[in-house]
Amino acid sequence: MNTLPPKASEWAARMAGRWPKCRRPVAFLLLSVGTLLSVHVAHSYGTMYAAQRQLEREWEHQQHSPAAPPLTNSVTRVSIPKINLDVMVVEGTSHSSLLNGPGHLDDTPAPGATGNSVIAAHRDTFFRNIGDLGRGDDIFVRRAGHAYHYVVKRKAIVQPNDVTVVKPSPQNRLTLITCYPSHYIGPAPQRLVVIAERIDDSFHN
Amino acid sequence: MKKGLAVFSAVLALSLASLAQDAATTATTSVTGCLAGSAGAYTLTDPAGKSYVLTGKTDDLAGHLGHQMEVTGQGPAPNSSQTSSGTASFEVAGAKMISDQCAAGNAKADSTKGVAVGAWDKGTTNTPAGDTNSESPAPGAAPVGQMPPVPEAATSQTNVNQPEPAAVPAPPQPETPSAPSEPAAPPSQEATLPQTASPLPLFGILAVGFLCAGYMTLRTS
Repeated sequence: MNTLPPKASEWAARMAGRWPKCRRPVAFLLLSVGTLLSVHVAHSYGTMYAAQRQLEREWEHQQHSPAAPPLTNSVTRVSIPKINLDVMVVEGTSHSSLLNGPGHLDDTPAPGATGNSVIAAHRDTFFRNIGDLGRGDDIFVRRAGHAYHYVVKRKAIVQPNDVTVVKPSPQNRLTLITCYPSHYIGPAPQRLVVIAERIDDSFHN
Repeated sequence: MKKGLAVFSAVLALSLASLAQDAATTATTSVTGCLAGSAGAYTLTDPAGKSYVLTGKTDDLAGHLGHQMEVTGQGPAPNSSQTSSGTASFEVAGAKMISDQCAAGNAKADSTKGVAVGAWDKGTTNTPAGDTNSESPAPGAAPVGQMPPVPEAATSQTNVNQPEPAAVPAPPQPETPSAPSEPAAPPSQEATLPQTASPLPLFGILAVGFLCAGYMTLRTS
């Protein structure tokens, strides 16, 4: 404090004199903001959990229903044993959609269908560990009474504007996308892409 | 008091740093080449044979088919590995006609012959997009390989690998067909991959920071 210029020193002394009066309001403000943020985070994760449970019930109903639902309206379940992932996929990749689960990118074929089916999810929740996947790892997709077996072929880091990874493909491909770096809180300027291809030996539940 | 302010300052600095997400992805670059294609699906082929699928402000390119153009915008740098083979996407922000005819090998034509076109021509930066190809993995991240070129879509779909029916027979439904014949058909919105970075972890850290700072401030009173 001694190194400050006289005016700054006076200002600091004045503020220090006022601090005892405003300490309690400041503390209350900080605690209020912290509480609000905590509630928001807890509500978001709670909503995500509830949406997943709802989709799971819907999926089980479709699996055991005598009349299978149309493929376009069916719920998709993706299981990746290596990273202990078992989630329901929502339609769309908007911000609100991705809060509920991995999102199937619009205008791409449904998982299991011919073509390049794309699923994106947040790096901090569902796809946190897809970077651990390697060539040959299994991905199982179940939808509308059908079961599909994919095998990871490769993964890559791409720029967000590199849409070549979502281009149509003649192969039965499943592309998983999340932000990169995955194990990090902060800027995520790139995307981690895992590309899997379907193999013929579709499994049964 | 000092502890509380220190915690608050650290949390604030962390949040400001984190809110700069995707700021590094907006590097601008320019590519020169021959314009081809049709309305809504333009491609630019540079002298090295690399093709760029043009997205963004392509409305005014209709009158420049077959011309040698310099387009400016966001996309992989011409010498980046993403464009070493195959096709890359390029979001156009501005364009400039270099020549009214494409001549092999002279894509880097004399710029004095260039004619600015269009009111939306920004005609500014020729910045090499050094960041567009930076792939610096974070500590602890899994090693990943270089993205190989994605094969071009076939011109016809075959159904030889249709899904096998499970125990419950389902009526055959028409699957969503892809559009393989279009050279520029990125299905994502606005030609970018989905935003998959959630702010929730940051909010969680901020919440803990605010609560700690508030508690320490209250305690010192």
